Amino acid sequence: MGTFYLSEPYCFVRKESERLKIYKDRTLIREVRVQEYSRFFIHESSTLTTDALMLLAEKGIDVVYFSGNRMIGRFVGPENKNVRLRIAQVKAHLSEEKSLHIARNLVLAKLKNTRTSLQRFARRRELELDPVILFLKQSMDHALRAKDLDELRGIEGMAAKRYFEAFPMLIQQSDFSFEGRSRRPAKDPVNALLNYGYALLKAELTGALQAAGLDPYIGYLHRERYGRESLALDLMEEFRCIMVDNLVVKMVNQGVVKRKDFHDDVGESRLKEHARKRFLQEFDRRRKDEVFHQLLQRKMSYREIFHKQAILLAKFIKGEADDYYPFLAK
Amino acid sequence: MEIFVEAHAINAYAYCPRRCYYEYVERVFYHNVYTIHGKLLHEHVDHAGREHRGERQLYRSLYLRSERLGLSVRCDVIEEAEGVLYPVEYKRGKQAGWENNHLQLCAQGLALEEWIGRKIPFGYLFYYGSFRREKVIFDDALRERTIQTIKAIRALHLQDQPPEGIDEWFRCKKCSMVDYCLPQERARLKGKVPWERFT
Repeated sequence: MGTFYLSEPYCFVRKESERLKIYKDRTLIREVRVQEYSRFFIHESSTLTTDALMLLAEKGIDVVYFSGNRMIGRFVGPENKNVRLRIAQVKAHLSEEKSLHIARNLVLAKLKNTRTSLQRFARRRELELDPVILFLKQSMDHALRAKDLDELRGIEGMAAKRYFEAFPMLIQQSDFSFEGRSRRPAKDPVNALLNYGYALLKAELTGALQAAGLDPYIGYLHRERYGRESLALDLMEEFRCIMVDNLVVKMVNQGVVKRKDFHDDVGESRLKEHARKRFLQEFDRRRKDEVFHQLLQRKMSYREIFHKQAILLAKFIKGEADDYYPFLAK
Repeated sequence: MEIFVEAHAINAYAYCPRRCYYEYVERVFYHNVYTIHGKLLHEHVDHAGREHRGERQLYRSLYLRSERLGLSVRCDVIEEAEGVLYPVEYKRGKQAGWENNHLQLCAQGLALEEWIGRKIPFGYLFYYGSFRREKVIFDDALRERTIQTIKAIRALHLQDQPPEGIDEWFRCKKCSMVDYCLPQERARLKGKVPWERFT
C-alpha cells in the first residue's frame, strides 16, 4: 500500500462508491481505488468533497495537506485510545534518566547508520572517508558515556557537522555544489532535495507514531521547542542518512534530477514542479524498498520498519520491553 | 462495580489473555482480514430492531448489563420461540467448537437471566461458513468458567503490564494484534541493545 500524491493544483476530487474521481477543469483525469493506498498527500489548491474525506477516514487512510514542502495539516480518522501509553510517554519525557536513555539509543542508531552508509560508499567508490568514519565511531563511544541530554546533543551535532563536511565527496555531478546544510532557505539544490525528503520522512513517521498511539509532539532528544513534532524528529534520526540522504545522492548522481530542474529565487533553491513529482515517485518507491533490519534479523520494507519502530518505541515507553531497539541497517 | 467486562473481551481472553489486555485494557484495536470479514458479515445484526420469522420473534442488537457480575454484553439476536428466550450469536467460519465462543454466549445468557429474572438454559451459535446453528447448553461447568473468566479480566484491568500471551505462531499469525504484540520480535529482543558490538 503506497502513498497517493495529488500534486496537480486545482483538482476536484469526489467519491463514487469505493473510488475517488479526480477532475480538472471539469474533465475526469483519474480514478483511484482507495484501498490501494494507505496515505493521501494533497499538494496545493485541490479540493476534496466531504464524502471523499469520509471514505478515506473510514478506510483508515491518512490525508496530509502540503504546501510546497511544508506539511500544513492532516485529516485522520478515529484516534488510538491508548491512554496508559500517553501517560507513560509524558512520564518518560519528565524523567531525565528515561529521556536520556531513549535519546542515547536514537543518537547511537543515527551514528551507526550514518557510519554504515559511509562505509558502503567508501567500499564501492573507493572514497577516502576513513577520517569521518573514525570520527563517527568515536562519537558513538562518547554518546555511550554522555551524562546528560545536552552533552548528547553536542556529540550528535558535531558528528552531523563532520558528516556534512564529507557529504560533497559523495556527489559526482560537478554542477551540483553543496556547502553545508541549510534548512530555510535551502541555499542550493542538494539542500532543497534534502529538506523535501526530510519533510516527507517526518510526515511518514508522524503517521506511524500516531498509529502506535504515541503523541508525535512529545519527544526525548528534541524537546526544546513547543509546537513541532519532536518525537517524529527523534525517530527520524535513525532514518535520515540511510533513507533520505542516500536517495538524494543516488538521484543526483544518476541524473534523475538535473541542475536545470531547479530555479534559484533570491538565494533560495526550489524544485520545479515536474522534478518534484519525480522526487515523490522516487521517495514512494524507496518506502517499499526492502532493507535488512539488524536487530530483528530480517528484511522488511521501510514502510513496515517505520511502523515497527514506532511500536517498539511505545513498548519501551510503557515498560513492556527491556530497551528501545532501533533500526540498524546492515 | 466499577469495571464492566464486555462479553467480547471474554472471547478474546479465552483466545489469548494478552490480546484481551491490549484490546480491552489498553483499548488498542487493529483489523485484519478476519476481523473485517466478521464485521462485514455481522452488519445485518448490528442494527437494533425486532422482526417476526414464522413462529419466532427476533430482537436484534440488544445491549444488556449485569450489575451482579459487572458484565456488559451486546447480543446479536435474542430469539423467542414457544415462550423460551435464548441468545443467538453470529460467527464467521464453520462450526469449530472453540470454547471462547461458548463462554461469550454463556455470558449473554447470564446477563439475559438477570434482566428477565428467569433461567436461560441454552443458546445458539450461528456459523456463516456452514449456515448451521450449534446449540450450547449453559451447564454449571460452563457458567462457572464464564464467571471465572470475567473475574480474571477484571483483574487484568488493574495490571500495569500485559500478561503472558499464548505465543504460538500458528495462532498468533491469525491474530489481528500480531503487529502490535510482536510475539516473534519479543522472543528475539531481550535485554539491552548490545552497543559494544556495534561501535
